[in-house]
Amino acid sequence: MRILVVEDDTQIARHIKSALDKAGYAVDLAHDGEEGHFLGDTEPYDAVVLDLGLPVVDGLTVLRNWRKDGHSMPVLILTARNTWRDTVTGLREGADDYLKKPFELEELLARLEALIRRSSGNANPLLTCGSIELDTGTNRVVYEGFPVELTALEFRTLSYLLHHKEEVISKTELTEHIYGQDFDRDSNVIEVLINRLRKKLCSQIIKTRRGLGYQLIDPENDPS
Amino acid sequence: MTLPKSLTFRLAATSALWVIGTLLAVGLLLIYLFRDHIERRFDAQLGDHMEELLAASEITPDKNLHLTWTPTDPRFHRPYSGWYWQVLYKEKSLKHSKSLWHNAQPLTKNQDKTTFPVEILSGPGEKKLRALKRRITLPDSEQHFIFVVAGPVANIEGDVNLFTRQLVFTLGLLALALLAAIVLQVRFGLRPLRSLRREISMIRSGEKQRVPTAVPTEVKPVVSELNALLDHNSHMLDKARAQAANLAHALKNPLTVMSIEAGQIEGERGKILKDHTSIIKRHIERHLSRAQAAGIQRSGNLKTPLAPILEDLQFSMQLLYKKRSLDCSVSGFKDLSFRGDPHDAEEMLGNLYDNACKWAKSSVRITGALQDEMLVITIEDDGPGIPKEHIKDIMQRGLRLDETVAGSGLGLDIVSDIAELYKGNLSLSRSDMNGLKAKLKLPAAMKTNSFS
Repeated sequence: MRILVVEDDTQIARHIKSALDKAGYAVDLAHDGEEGHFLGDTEPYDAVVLDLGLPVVDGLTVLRNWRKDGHSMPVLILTARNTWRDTVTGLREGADDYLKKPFELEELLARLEALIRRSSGNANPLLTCGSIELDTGTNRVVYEGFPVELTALEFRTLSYLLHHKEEVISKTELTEHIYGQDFDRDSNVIEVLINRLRKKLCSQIIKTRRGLGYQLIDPENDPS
Repeated sequence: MTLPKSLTFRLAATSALWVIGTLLAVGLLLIYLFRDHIERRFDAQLGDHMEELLAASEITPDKNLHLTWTPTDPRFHRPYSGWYWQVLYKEKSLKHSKSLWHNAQPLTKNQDKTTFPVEILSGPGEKKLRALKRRITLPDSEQHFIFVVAGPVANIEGDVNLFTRQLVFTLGLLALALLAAIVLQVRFGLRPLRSLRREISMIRSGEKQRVPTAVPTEVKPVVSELNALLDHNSHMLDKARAQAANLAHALKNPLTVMSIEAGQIEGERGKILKDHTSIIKRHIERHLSRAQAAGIQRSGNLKTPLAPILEDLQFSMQLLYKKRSLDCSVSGFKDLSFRGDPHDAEEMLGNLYDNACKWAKSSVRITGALQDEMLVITIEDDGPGIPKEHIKDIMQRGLRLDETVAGSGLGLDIVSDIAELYKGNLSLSRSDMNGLKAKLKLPAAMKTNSFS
């Protein structure tokens, strides 16, 4: 899962980034509206944390432009303005949720997690596939009742696949959603990651669709 | 002595002062003129009698003075009538009127001069007499006789006193009438000031924004200064509010960092820091919303339809509480308008609606109604509600709500604060849906507003 954080206060941005890193997300930071808009416009994010009081271009304009251009990723707005008018305006412009400053990081993570889940159509915070369970609240992965230790990249890969269960995900898409923009992307790494996940979990679960990508299939629904 | 600080008093008192002064002067002048006139007439009368006396006088061949007749006026015959005549020769009375009776004392002494002014003498019985005196040398004689004709001063005094009394009465009446007229005039003249006071008190109570400028020219500068002052005040107030809001906003980012950092400190110290940052946060929220609230004074007669606001809020709540799929019914707001600022209405309804959604199990009900020219908005949920004893606590503590009390959230105190700015109120009770029932009373904007 890859998140864009657009926040001009570097301290807050740093804290959000480290909290999101810890929670297993790939995070990109933007410090003004222009940069934020560009990133959101060109990179596929699973969710955006958008401060409304941004320099250069204000947050509402950024949001409006994204929505106008057809970007539908969930957006959580952060607002220092505490009025309902600001909130209503933000939501009317296409935000999915809002948080008033000052906020708690736990609250931000919970809201973000719920937004991502909702946008991929999962109502239950427990993502499952066969005997694999991922608790989006605690970020713990359990296989056949036993906890599984995963690296950050492995976790992101599994999490993305679980959020898009039964969908065929291309290597490129997977790359785009598990790396931040500052990483050198190497599609060979994806193969390595998938292989490691197969080893740690059940190899039957992640199918390779040759030339298309990968697909996570519940063993019960597996036609093969 | 301190004078009452009243314009009416000042104007009436100064006017009264000169009216009374003028009347006094006029009175004294009139009395003086009257006395002068009376004395002249008296003297003329004395002169007539003198002429009569002189005409009757002749010198007998034996060089004696003889009166061929005596003055006919009966007052000269009535004993001690106050009217006397006398002819003196060398300090001795030769002839005198019958009214002097047997008293032959000379009425006057100094007889050396040739002409005499009118003289005040002391007559029989110590009565004051006004006397005309002449030194006459009759034909065929070389002797100088002194002819004296006198009348009672009391007559003049009586006339003057009568006149004075009448004058005092007349002038007194005139003074009273003038004073009454002055008071009426002053009150009439100061009427614009009284209406100005009414206008100003209406501004204070928020019924008006400015003082109307259709006032007399003398009051106009005051009114324009007052309006300028009001503008200045509201400008300063806006500035102060903006600064308060800016301060609050400026604090939010550092506060966010602080609360995050505090959250990363293990143990008791971290908890203390975190608790205190959340206290600061609540203070900021509350005072910021108070600073931002317009209240009745700033919004004046603004008319805010409630339906669009509820529509906006409903849209927001459905989005924010999407996963809970709450059943929100909003009814009765079609024709309702709030007399106040739309922003304030949004804050109050938003906070109550949000609070209801936060605690509701499955449904929220919002109804609006008009009751005795007041809007009554009830917002109910089927959540846990607030126990009765807590409601009482909350109300007694002036709605400084404890966030730990189930069913209440941050915001009810803000709602209550804003409602009070409009002389409205927020009351909490148990809903028949089992949850909290918040009843908000606010001034309504009437359909047929005839604001002048």
